[in-house]
Amino acid sequence: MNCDRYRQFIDAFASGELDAVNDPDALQHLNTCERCAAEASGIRQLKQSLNRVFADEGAPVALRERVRNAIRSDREAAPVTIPIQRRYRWVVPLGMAAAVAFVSLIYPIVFDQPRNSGGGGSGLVDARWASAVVSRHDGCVAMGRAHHRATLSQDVRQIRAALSKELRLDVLAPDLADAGFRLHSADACGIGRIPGAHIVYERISDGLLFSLFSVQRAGRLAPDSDGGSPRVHSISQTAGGLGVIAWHKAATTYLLCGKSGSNELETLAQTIG
Amino acid sequence: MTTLPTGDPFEEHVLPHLDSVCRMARRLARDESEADDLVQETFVRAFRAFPRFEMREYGVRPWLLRILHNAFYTHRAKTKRQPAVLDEIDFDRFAAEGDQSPEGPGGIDNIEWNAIDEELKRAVDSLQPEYRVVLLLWSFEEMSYKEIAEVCGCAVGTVMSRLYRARRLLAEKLSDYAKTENVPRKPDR
Repeated sequence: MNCDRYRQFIDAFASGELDAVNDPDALQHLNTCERCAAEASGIRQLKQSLNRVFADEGAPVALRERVRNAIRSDREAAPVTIPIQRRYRWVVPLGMAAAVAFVSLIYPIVFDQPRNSGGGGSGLVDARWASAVVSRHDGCVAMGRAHHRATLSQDVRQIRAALSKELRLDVLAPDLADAGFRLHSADACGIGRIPGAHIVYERISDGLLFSLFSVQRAGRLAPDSDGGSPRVHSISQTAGGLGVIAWHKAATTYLLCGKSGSNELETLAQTIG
Repeated sequence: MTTLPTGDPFEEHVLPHLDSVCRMARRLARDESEADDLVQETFVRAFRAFPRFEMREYGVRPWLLRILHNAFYTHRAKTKRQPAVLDEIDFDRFAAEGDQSPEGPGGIDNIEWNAIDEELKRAVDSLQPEYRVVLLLWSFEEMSYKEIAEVCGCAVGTVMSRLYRARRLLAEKLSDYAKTENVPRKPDR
């Protein structure tokens, strides 16, 4: 009896997928063997039973309404209304409040000098968008290593290639080992509804995490900047000492987000350039 | 009832799959509240990603279920409920496992399935999520192995081995139940 030899094909046979396996001998055996036919019949009955017992689990009216409301809110709302996790929901309002306070009170004092190292004008990243960037950074970093998409390599060059192809963007994912950073995680995470790539770097010395986003060019993310040179164009700070630097290059906008102060963020931006 | 704009492509092409997503979320999460959160998150993520909808080759439903699948594992990771490492099998071991099969006489091939609906639900819920999701995509979503592989982000061979193992684990549980509870059997063929 060849049953054991063809056992591996019984599920495919019962599911009508044996052609995909492309094994005519297996097909011939399974079509003629009573023992295997009985097992295949059992598999089909299991499938029918599973269909039957879970058939009544459609979405209730209340859930339909909830989903529609969530989509409607997302359509009408500001860039970030992310139902990430209840314990992080305070980040968005707090970040936005801090950004507003920063714009009105702190920025004129701290950043009264232009930050550009050349060329284009210096513009503050719009407070709402700065908050969106910080919120995305916080949300993804909170996931730890789980933020890294399982199907992506751990090699930044391969990550860059994969995400650039997927998103049709010139994704920036430099090797920062010489600057003391290593890859932490990566995935396709945009800002608000703007699609983009998100690479998180970890500073080897103290584990501090920085985010580098590459998103479809959006003027509102770096309103007064342009040109290809990788200089600091815009910076904004939020509560918790997180800052955002944004610059454009061709069809892509790049955003760096992480702990600011002592020029760490700006130094990293210059290094990336 | 809240409605989205008439003629909205998201309303037209994506929302009709709410039942499928809900059913899968409830079986994955096994908790109604968590499942509802997952469903909402899946559709909001889908709404944001819809302009750059991927997996056109497979259609909207596998794409949605993939988002759900990813959202589920993201939730698990955040709550530190990491799934256990699976004991994957390769096909060379199928024959060896077959020797200890609970199927055949005394197994579940000839069981009266209608008599064990509730036990079948319990048995499915007791499987590890990786097995559960493959089994459910195969059964009530009627997906091909290739579609399941796309949803789960794994190889077709992995789908086959997980399905085989899931079915085998179900058979063990149901076979034990059938013996202890004297579940009626169909006449011998």
